[in-house]
Amino acid sequence: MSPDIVSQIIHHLFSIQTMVALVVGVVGGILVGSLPGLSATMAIALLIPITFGMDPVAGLTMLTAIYTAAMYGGSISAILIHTPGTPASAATSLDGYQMTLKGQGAKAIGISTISSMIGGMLSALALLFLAPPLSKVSLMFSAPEYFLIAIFGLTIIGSLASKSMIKGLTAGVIGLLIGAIGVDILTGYPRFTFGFPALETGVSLVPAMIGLFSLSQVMIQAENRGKNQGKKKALNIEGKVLPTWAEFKGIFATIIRSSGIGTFVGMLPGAGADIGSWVSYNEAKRFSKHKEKFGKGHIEGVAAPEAANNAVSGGALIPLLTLGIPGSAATAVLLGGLMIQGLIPGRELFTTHADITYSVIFGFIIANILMGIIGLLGAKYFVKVSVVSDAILAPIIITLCVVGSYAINNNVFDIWVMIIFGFIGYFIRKTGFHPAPIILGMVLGPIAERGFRQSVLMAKGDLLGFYFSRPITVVLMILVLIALFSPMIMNWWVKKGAGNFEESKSDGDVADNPAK
Amino acid sequence: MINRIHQDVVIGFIFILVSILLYMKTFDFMGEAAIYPRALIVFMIVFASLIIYSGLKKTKQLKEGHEVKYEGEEGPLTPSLLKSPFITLLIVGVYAGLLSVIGFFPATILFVIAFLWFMGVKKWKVYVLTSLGLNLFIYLLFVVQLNVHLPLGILFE
Amino acid sequence: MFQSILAVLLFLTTLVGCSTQDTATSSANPSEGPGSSQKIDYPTKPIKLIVSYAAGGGTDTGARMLTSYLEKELGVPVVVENKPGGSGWIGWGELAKAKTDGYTIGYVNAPAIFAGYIKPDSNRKENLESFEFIINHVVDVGVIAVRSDDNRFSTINDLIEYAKTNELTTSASGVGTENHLAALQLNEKLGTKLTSVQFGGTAESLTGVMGGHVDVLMAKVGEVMQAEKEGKLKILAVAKGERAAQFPDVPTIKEAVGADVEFYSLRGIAGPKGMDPLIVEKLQTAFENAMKNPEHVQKMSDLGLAIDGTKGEEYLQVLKDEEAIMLDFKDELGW
Repeated sequence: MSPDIVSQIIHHLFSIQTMVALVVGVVGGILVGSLPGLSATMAIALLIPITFGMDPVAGLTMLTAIYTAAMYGGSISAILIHTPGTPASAATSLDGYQMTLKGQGAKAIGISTISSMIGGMLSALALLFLAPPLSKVSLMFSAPEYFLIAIFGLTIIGSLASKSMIKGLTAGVIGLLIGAIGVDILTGYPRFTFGFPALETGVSLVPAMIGLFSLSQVMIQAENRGKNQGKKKALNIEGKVLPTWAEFKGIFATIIRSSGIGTFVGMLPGAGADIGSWVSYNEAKRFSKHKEKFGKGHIEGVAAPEAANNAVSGGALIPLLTLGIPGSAATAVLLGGLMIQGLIPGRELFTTHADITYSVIFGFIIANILMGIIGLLGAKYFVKVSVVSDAILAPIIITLCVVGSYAINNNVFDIWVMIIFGFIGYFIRKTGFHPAPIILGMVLGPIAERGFRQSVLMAKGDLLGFYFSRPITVVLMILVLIALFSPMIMNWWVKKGAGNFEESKSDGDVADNPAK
Repeated sequence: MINRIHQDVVIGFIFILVSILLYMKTFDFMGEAAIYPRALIVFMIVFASLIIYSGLKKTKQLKEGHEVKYEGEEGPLTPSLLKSPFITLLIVGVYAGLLSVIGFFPATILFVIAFLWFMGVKKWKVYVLTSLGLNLFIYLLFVVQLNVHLPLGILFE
Repeated sequence: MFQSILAVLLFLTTLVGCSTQDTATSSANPSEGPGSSQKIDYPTKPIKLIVSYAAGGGTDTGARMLTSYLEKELGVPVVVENKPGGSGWIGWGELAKAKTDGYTIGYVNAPAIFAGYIKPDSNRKENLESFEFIINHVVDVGVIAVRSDDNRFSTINDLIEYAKTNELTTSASGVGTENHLAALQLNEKLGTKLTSVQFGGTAESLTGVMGGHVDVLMAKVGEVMQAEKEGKLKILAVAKGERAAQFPDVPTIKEAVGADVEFYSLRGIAGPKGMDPLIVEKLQTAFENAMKNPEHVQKMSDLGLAIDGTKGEEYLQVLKDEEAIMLDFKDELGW
């Protein structure tokens, strides 16, 4: 970068319009993200017309700020009221809400904020320094790789947030079946749509998730109607926001790993923040020395998905800016925003329009820092939500669920989807299942099926030869095999040779090996 | 209730029943489109059978007078427990139905009032503040800021 | 040699044919435009413009780029309302059932709209007869491209010859979409062995071809412009009657291989059937003027989109011709 460009960037960034856009974007993004149903994608889409009249740097900085802040905002409601604000924070609700129940809501928010900030920053740095070489990576992934990534993500389904392995697997299969609803893209045949045109594009993830997590939560709380009103809120909510140094050191590796996973998943056009956060959660659990603590309010379980979903935002910008190929749904919408400003993605963005592009990237970095500051300062106030009595909170949550489900597609049908999933969610939760594997199945199922069938066509008859001729595919197949069989091998290892090691040490070593 | 059956058995049978119905539905599907859902349904039936099996074991324990532990959110579904959650669902259903008839904002005000009353809130201030505050917030954010067209209701369209 | 002369001749005649047609329509338009002497009190309140795809997509972006100019013409706000889902039919179904007062109009995308009622299991009552076709906004012209380092093909003829004996994979964006139908048509007319791999969207198709996972890209001008400029893709043919302004050196399929295979999509404005002809006329004039705005034309051409402007009956006829192609391929599609 020449000094000339640097001065232009400073000029662009420190204009009043850009600064206002940044603050509005971050605050608005956190708000939008924390409300169920209002996703980053939607907020960007709905605000693009407003950016028409703005200076390109200010407009685009606002949109990217909303993107990353909404990813973070989703965690606040996931942690405090078990209502993931965006699909990307569904994984956060597993451990985050448990922490709130233990009175550590503030700390959970603190960890989520720090992880989100670091995740976003690292991905922004990757975008700044490595965009051109990394964009080649996005081109190396296609159907067979997507199929295997999805399978890899599904390997954890049995042990995810469920006491019984069979019930976990069953919930996963339910999710996969729900994911099969809609027009089969390879034959054009509508499956299980029961004559509803709205189901042709599948069950919308957002209303389904809101129903499974939030409405079912309200129903569970309604069981205690009239009993111990206000009493349960005697919990200590004044806890510290910042984690201790020891805790931070404990989650540091998780944050870095998850940021890497998030950035990488973000770069893939076929996978977005929801997948990034689940894969990171799974990997955090796989690598953790305290696997048993996951799902019971473990800080690693909050740090992993949050670092990842913010890292996705930077990762998804890489192929968007370099190739014009959006890495996620939100960036697909951002593409429209770029085009309207007359910025056609590609090499020209980094040459002819370098001043604008680099200003937006720096703006994105600042947005992540600002988000961290606002989040840490605000955590104490956010937590107050959990002292509001259930009686008042319940109708507010339901109304927001209803308006959020409607707004995602401007369709009343989705409100009914939300209610039906609320009903399902309540029953499965009361009978020892968990909604998390269902969501995971819904997200990964279509990718797995489509990826596999597309790869059959791409292979032109020689499927095995095709898979084994692709180095990345081979690596992924090995990873899947390790994921499937490592628990068995580990059991055998521990039983056979436990005497030679301290138990915790051998656990860690074996779990670390697959990555090497 | 001495002869009660553990709820896992019932759940397992419900899953199998739904699986069979869905499997029948796949006969209309065109060629390749049916393979994946059918495979999933087969898995579903296997898992549901295992759930029934473990449920039967638990039922046996119950009959022998042992307590079967429920962990976390899991709990025996009894009519008295289900009453409040079901009324909740019913109110939400009425709300959803109403908002396409009388419009989003009137329906929301009615819903909030009805729900607060159902939850046993007595202070009138809470009613006023919650319903007005919530509607104002949604109006400002969704309608003014984000240009979402909330349903006006068939009466006003 | 003889063939190439023939191709050039063919090309010249199409060029001449088109240009005369162009002047004919453009000279006819102004005389029609202000000819409406009858007055109606329309519009007096905001007009709802339904877009059957999500905000931020191609149709939505194009619509939002037009509305600001349209608002100036009509003097009332034009509000874009996204109704995604059901392969577009959530929005189209609503449009067909809307009041005919002219305050609800919407974008209709062809050939995407046909699939929704030609599919036997769709049980949909609506079809082309359910709409009043006002004016076509843009034509999104299709292209056939390959990776620039794919040494097997340097022309479309190479590709067709190769595909007659070897299986090649092509990108498509759904069963019955224009690029899928084009591959089927090529197979039928030229005996090629093209297999369409269905992708979820253009992003996946582009990575599929640019990453070397799929052989042939079937996409739209706007989607490949930048990649072509940077030398990542070779455009082999344009799938429309005339060459594309963005790629003047690239032949059309017809001039290169002689087969009459076209694929493109149309995004136009329609309302529910039974609108007052005066309102339709007023809308046509307003849209026409808005579409001619030089700023708008420039922005659309930057995106690789051609402004069209075919109106009323003529527009309906174009759609009917497209519909016929899809009906021809019902069996191949498995419908």
